[in-house]
Amino acid sequence: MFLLLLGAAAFLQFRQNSQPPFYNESRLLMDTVISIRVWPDDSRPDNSRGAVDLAFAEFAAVERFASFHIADSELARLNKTGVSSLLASVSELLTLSHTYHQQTGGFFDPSFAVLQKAYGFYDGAGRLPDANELAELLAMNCGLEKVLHRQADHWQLASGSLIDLGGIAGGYAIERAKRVLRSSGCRAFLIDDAGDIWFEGRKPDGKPWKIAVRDPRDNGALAYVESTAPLAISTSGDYERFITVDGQKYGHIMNPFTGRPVDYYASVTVVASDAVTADALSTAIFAMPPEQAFAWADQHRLGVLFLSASGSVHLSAAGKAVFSQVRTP
Amino acid sequence: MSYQTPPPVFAGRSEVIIIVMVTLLSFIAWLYQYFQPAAPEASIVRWRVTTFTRTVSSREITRPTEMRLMVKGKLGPAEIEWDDRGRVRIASSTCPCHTCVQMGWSAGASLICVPNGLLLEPLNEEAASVDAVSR
Repeated sequence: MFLLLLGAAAFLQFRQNSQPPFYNESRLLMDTVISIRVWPDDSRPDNSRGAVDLAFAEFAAVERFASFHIADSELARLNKTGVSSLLASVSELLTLSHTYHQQTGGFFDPSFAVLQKAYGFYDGAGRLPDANELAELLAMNCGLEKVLHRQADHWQLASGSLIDLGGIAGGYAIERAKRVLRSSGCRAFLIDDAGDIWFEGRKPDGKPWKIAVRDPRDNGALAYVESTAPLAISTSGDYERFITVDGQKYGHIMNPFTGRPVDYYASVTVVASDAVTADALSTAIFAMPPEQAFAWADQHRLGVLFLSASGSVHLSAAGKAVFSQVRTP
Repeated sequence: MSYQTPPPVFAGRSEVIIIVMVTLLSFIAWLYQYFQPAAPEASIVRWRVTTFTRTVSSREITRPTEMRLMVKGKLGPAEIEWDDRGRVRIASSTCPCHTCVQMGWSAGASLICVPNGLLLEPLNEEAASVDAVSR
């Protein structure tokens, strides 16, 4: 009995100590820090470093063609000239944007970049456009289906309009990186694009993946997501990107119908089966008024955690099965 | 010729039972400690400062209070400051917009200066107990 217990303890200790180390690397890409963590597969030679290199190359590629800020990116050329070839790499992202725009009733709208520009988000100036300016922008330059058209062989953007793919490009890059890691033979990995997360595979310790959702009020954990199945998690919030005008903070996500920065929530976290969906829908739902957002999430059986600006917490019906240890006010 | 019972080599039956009981209790206590969930929150005791220049270099600062640290970023020097409550901020940075400086004090959230290639990450027990943080 004694030897049996001693053996069991030694085995558990050995198991704990013999976890193969993961390969972890962070790089500055897409205006943020991206981390990729890969656990080597015992049955194959360790090529973690090479696989992670290839995965980062996908992020770099997406940044090159989808960046709003890089002057010679395909997106910047579309914004400047109003034209982009259907063969361009950015074309798939534009098509996806149209899909999510329609699916969310217009709340996912990369064309609200003109509003962000009017509010001074891009130059950091921070200003409040007057009602006439907003009305004109909404009438002429907002609404993706109104300003961006797919022609026979090219995309056509209305004059004066702007597209910013920041609400979907990160998720899209994660999807591309994930495919590269899979094809490189990585079986367990985690991709963290500044809080937009994808994980899959079985960790060596056999424990489920555990992701904390940050509580912006005190930087603690608002809730956790624990899963052994692959999942994408994305959080949209107004606490990291905002302007301050006359002492008042304004977040960067706009209601595409009113033209004003939304202030319903401190954060919205979406769990989905792919990173593009999680990324695009967290942005779209953040822009929806609460009652509409709650109903929309339930209708689409989406796992969503809402932290309102006043500090109350709401979980969608599907979210109750996904989020655990949810902190209440 | 007299017969003497030899003294017990290891222990009597009752002593063996006590040893087994103590061992069992110790094992149960160890198992409890091994499997119990980590505390949901913890104070920040360490920060990792990473600079992304031509090479990536990191250093860890343990229990920083009222200290300033000068680092060399991609574009030039940056100054990181901790106050007496352990909060941190980027006090200055050689970057065009100074968004990082405007973010102010952080009690536990990461701070970043993308143009100057600077990242400050909390290394608390919370961070160690999860695989990532969605924010």
